[in-house]
Amino acid sequence: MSVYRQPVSDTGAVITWCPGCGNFGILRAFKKAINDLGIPPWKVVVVTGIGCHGKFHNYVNVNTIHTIHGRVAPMITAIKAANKELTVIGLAGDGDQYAIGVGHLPHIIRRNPDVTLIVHNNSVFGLTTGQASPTSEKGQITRTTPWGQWEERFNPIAFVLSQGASFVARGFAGDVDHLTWLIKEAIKHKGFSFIDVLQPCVTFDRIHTYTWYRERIYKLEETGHDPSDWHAAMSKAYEWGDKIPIGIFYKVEKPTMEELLDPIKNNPPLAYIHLKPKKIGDLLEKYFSLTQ
Amino acid sequence: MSNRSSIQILVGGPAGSGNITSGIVLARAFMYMGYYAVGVSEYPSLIRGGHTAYWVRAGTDKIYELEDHTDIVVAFDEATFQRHGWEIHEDSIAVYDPLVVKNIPENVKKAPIPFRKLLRENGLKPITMNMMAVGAVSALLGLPLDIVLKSVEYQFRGKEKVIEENKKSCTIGYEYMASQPLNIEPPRLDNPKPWGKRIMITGNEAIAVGFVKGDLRMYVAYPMTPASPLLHFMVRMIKEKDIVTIQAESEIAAAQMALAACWTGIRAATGTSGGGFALMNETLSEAGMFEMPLIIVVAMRPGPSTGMATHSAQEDLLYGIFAGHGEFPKIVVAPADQEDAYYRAVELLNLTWKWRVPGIILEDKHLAESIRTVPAFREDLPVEKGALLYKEEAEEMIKKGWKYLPYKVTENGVSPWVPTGTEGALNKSDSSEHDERGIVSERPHIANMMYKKRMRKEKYILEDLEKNYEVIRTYGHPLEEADAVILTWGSAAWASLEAKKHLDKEGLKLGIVQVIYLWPFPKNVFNETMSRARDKPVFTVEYNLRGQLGLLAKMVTGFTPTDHIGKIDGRPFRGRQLAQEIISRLKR
Repeated sequence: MSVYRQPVSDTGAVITWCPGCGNFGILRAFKKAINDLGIPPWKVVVVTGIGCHGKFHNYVNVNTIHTIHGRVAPMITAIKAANKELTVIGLAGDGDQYAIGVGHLPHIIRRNPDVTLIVHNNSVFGLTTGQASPTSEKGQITRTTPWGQWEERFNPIAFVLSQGASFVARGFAGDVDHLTWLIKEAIKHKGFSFIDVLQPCVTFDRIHTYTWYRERIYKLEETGHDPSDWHAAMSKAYEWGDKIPIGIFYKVEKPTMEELLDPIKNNPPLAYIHLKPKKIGDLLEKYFSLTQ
Repeated sequence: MSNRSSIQILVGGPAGSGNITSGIVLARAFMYMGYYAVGVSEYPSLIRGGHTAYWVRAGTDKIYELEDHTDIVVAFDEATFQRHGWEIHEDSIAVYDPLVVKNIPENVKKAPIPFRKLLRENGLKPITMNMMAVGAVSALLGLPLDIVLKSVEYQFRGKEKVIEENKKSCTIGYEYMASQPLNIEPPRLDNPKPWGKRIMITGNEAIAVGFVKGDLRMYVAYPMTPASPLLHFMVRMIKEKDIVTIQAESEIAAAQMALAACWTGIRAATGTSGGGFALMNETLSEAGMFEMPLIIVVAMRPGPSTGMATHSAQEDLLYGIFAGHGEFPKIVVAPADQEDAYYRAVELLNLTWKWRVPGIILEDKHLAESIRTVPAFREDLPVEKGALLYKEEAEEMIKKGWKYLPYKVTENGVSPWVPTGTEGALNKSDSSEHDERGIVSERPHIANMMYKKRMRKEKYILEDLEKNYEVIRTYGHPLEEADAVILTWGSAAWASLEAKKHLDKEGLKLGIVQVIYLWPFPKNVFNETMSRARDKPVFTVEYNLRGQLGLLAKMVTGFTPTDHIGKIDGRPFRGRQLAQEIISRLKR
């Protein structure tokens, strides 16, 4: 009987994901994408949430924040606002982004910062030992649904499309080359980019195995799908079951947060400007009835 | 005519009647003339109708708080008399439209003015009625019309047509009242004593101006009374002072955004009230773990839960200090008043950056939304980057071989940090326990080392605060000579200061101790201060029932106050009210 030896990451931290975890594929694709794009590590920021995906930051030599559960979206928005020069990438889980943090999704879309959000969607809560998540199948048996999930499955692609996200894609952790391409396209896209990554949980999810996905997945770019056609994207978003599309569903150019907010637009990255007390005399005159 | 050192005016009416603006215009006119003034609002949580009240008290000396005697009552509705009858006396003068307000208390002196008729006759919009009332009150008090009109002009600055119409309405009100053969003798204020350049400002606004001075670069908040006016002011600063201000989708998002902005190396803050602060607690704890100078303004209102949304309270002292799960140091300051709010906001930015800890500004609605005339704020304040190294200095050091560790263990616990994006440096912050690099670790010796590194700061912060900052303020009679001592904080000190004036007349000497920096609790300065009040009755005066400052002092120092004088109905004490309460406690 062989003993599993946990791999060591670039930072020296031991990788504690289960053997065969879909996160390994996402980690490989992420590192390859950053290398291919040639972005220096100090200009890359990764923010992770809570869950199995939320160990990722320990394994990459870039700037990272491991924040609290569900709050990746507001953090990446603010980081881009404070330093528009950085490549900012949020990594969240399906529990993280679609359950506790779903309330932030419409708002990052409305603000359209030039950041990328990748959701490690493994259809269960992994790190808390296998409870149902919003993307568990109807009828799926999990620790919290012993008689089968009774709630309907959340549709992430349709949700973000409905709110007008400027880049909407789906990847598969079992196809690293394709995912690498998607991540690169997402980073290069000006505006908010969203990638839902189908990620098998080899320990707690008996349904969504690598084989299950491989039997169903097909690539949108091989079907002549037009990513500028929002209605076509929306109808593809509802395809799930026997056939599951991956690739870029939708892509559009829209003004970004950095272009819409004057203090960001008109200045170098705010984080690089030296502290200086600002004059307030004009405010006292204008707003507070300053006497002479 | 009776000459007085102070005068109090109440303008009451339904929400939307513009009575608050009337009060503000009068307060400003008094300030222009050289008087001190305060303006206090009381309004329900609704937009139209109901009953709102605004008080202005002006005088020749510093005014701390309202009194329980109102000289002039402007009533746009009958509820004004029903709600505030207790502060209206036989020499109070009622200004009202006799066609609208019919039930006037018998003991009140009457100065009727047909607002609606005058508006109609002069082709004025009904919305200008509040300025007509300002004119009428000004005539009664003998204020110079030109100065009052200057205040009207400032109120509607930038809107020429509105200015003209309101000035006209004010003038008509003034002339009408001046021409009436009234059989009453309105009070007259003594001549003002000049006191230099001054402004009129609320606590929220003073904090906002402090943020501008302190080079805050991002403010993110979710609307919640009574912290919303701070957000309203900061959004203006997007265009005027290059500050990124964002209305977030929740208090959680607001706190997360402000924390993430801090993490990149810029000054950022958020503001809220009790319920919103509860939502921010997880992030506050994260700021503790990240050792980031996130600032949260907590504008208190009565709780629990939604409580009384538009009223004032000091129920969150202990909550503010201990908010956030786990142990971590933070700095909590409760500004003394509107003037102090500006200086403490700038100071807290510097302190939190020096020590890399989160900070909380505790204000209550009374401080947050009441106006006060104060000396114009000074410009020459230091803005210090504390533990942060600028990008260029850090890159220079890194080229020379410096190894950057965002959580380096140091003697005082403070690790130098760099803006995210600095070449050769990585900022890694983990909400999980981590090592000096910011990489997760649950090993016992690392946990011990990092936990103690963070907590060690508390001792040094306390030393710094007690040595270099005004952590406690004392007023009134020297504590050694006092007959009674008030131990208080925030806006509760104002009524205490007015109470002192009343007790002086009774031959009772009141000493007042106001704690400004509440955490780390300045125990040495506190002990030294209170040792001067040995064997004196010490009463805590706070807008809560438990006497939370007393509990805190007892917890940290063992000091036990004699008794607690609390008020929990959302309305601050008036000076005489509190004086009477103190006298009755002394008799017990």
